[in-house]
Amino acid sequence: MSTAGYWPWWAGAAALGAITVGFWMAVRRPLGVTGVLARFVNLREEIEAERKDAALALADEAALAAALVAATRESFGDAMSPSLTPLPMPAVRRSGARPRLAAHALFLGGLVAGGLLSRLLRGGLASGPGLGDAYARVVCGGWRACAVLIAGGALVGFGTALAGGCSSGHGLFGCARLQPGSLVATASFFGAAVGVSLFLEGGL
Amino acid sequence: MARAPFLRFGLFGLALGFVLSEAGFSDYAELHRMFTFQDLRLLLTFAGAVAVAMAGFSLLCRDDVLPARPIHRGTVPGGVLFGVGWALCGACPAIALVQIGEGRGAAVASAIGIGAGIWAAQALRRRWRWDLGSCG
Repeated sequence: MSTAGYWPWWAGAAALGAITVGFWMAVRRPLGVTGVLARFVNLREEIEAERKDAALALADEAALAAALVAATRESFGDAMSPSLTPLPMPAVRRSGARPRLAAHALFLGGLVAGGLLSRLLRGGLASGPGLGDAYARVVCGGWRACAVLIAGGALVGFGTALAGGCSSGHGLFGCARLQPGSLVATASFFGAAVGVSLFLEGGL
Repeated sequence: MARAPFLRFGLFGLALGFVLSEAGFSDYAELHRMFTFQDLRLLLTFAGAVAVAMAGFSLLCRDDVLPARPIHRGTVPGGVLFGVGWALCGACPAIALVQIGEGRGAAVASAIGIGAGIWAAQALRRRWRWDLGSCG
């Protein structure tokens, strides 16, 4: 049963689960928004690292392998030279290279566009700039809300950077693989959010 | 290893943002009802997503080497601070961006806070050389 026209739980579950697995299969990178945001917080160093990466990528892989074979021959002689052909890379699929900053920028832009698209299909943008009546009732409204949002956001940013992941990286991608760090982090942030919400509601 | 095609990142961002919005994770009223157990829909959405992803990884990615997420000393304090912040601003890092797309201008304040928080954590990590075992 959906409230306020939102998807029923099973539809959201199927879609989010498919995105979590599909993201890994499509780009061979762990899903996680915090890590992506951190790159843009650190923009200057990331651009520098990207420039070095680009220089390294110019080095030809075949030439590198040939140079390694030549160096090995020089050290150990020709005794085992017939077997000295570079082996093909193992077929194991593991995490790939960090994508270009522009690819991650597109990912973050996609999140914004996804919210926009959802609202447009449902007949227009959110009414008013705030987070709604419920937020004003439970937390606070007006300009005071602005300060609470910045402070709350700072806790979110600091906490996710400290825990090494957020609701996507730990909550979905990590928990789905029963990773201990992700299970503990998810229990911590969920428990804390429940505690604070019950406190604000007056139930604690 | 070859870099993944560029556009796929945009498509998955779009899909994730769209689904989070359609499921109601970006609506503070829905989120608050989840955190106070007044409505289990979002809780079931999240738990179901983990179950679906678990099945997907074990069926489709059995031979892949997926990155490990061990417990480190930032896991619990970081998780707790994140949870407190999430309850106060109604946004996790992805949701703040989705909310901005939905036209909820107040989420810009949350996003600024999130950026500042990440920056502060990085600065502290550099200052005291914390090894949190986290990765990009």
